[in-house]
Amino acid sequence: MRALNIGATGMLAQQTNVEVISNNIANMNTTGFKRQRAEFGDLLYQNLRRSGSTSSQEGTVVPTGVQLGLGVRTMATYRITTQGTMRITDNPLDVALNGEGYFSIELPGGETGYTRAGAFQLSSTGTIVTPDGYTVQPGITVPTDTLSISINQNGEVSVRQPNSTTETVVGQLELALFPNEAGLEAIGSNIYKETVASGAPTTGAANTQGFGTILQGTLEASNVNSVEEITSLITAQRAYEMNSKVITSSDEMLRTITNLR
Amino acid sequence: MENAGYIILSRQTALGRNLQMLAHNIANMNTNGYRGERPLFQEFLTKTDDGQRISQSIDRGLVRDMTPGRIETTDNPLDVALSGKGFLVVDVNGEERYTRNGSLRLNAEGNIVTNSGQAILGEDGPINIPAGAHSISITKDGVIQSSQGEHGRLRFADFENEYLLLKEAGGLFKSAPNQEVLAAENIEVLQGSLERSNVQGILAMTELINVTRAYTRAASFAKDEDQRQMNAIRTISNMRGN
Repeated sequence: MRALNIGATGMLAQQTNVEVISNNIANMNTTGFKRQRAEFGDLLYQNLRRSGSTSSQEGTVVPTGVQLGLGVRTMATYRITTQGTMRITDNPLDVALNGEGYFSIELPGGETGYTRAGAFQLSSTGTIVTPDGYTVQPGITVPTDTLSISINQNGEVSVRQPNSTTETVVGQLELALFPNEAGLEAIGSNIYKETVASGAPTTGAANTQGFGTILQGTLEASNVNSVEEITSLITAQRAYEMNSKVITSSDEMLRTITNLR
Repeated sequence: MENAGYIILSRQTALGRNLQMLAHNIANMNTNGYRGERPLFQEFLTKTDDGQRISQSIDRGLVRDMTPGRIETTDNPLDVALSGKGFLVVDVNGEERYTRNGSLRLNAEGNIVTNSGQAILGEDGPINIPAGAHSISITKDGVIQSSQGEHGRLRFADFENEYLLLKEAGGLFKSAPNQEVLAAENIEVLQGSLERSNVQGILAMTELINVTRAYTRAASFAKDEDQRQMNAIRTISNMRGN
């Protein structure tokens, strides 16, 4: 009875669906989080009677045949990279990206990571770092006697020092753009890594061709929509239940056979 | 003598396959662009030696439900739902396949591909979005535009008889041998939407109950038939004993 296994593939797929949805809901308030969605595809088909085969001596042809499918599988979890809503924080080192692009950061192993979460801080030496202490590229150091920091739309970081009426530019934030940003690999802590699927990054400055603009004193909230997630959760749970009914029914039919004698 | 048993067997085998088809439909309730199927039962006449005609049950073919699935808004620029009759064209190792699953994405080279990485064909082959292009928009007639201009138009295939198409894994359809591929007319692209599965949960559940009950009925008939034969044997042997 293959229906038992098919029901099981359905339940497994819906379980993955619920897992993806629960991760989205758990990260509803995570800065720069991009929601994911599970996508499914049907499994192989068995051709029991091919369409086009002859069905009688007179040469009549089977119009549709019998193709039996074998269930479902999870094809992909796809990251939806739409813009999250902006939250004003008034913290000078909180920056949000409005539009395309990622902040580049240097990971402890020397590799480059990418993030949309612009909640930056200063290290003990005055370098702009992520909450984990990873340097934001290209490594901008703010002098110790700084009175105020301002970051403009192009990502230029400038500081005001005592006894000075003008602001001094200390560096420019570097952004990266990917041909296929959904292909980036999430490694946790809001950080993504380049993969074969994402393609190689093009680096550049904000507010130039293709890149978004930088907003100081703002954070990009997650793009999770609670109503959408809850409705998806309901659909997933119902589908899970229906698949379990398939298993119960197959079991009932098997019992019928066993009870025949 | 045993014809009744064989007739029940034909019914039960067909019902077993019916259940598998149902299970597959229910498993794919959340598969984008999936098309549900149900078996087509037919009376199958056989002749016995004494010229009697016996009717058995056979699932001769299947009926594919080609009604469109419900359309869900996702706001993702590379999600497209097709409104009207027709399919997107997919390149699988140089051969054409057709799909209604409009969950598209870009690969590392910037080509538009399906969620299993197979290229979607435009009117002039695969569609490439150059690096740095953003704000992708797809018009109602399938023209793909971005901040860097137009990149091509999606190709839509249509068939005179969609029921002849063969299904393949991953939501793909394959044309039957000698089936003519036409260009779809009256098709509209809805960007930011996805066409979900057209399996109706309630119908599938009631069908599931029907199949289970029909199966139990057939089984109890088989039991009665067994009883009848036992009785016959007993009566006949008793007669001889007297």
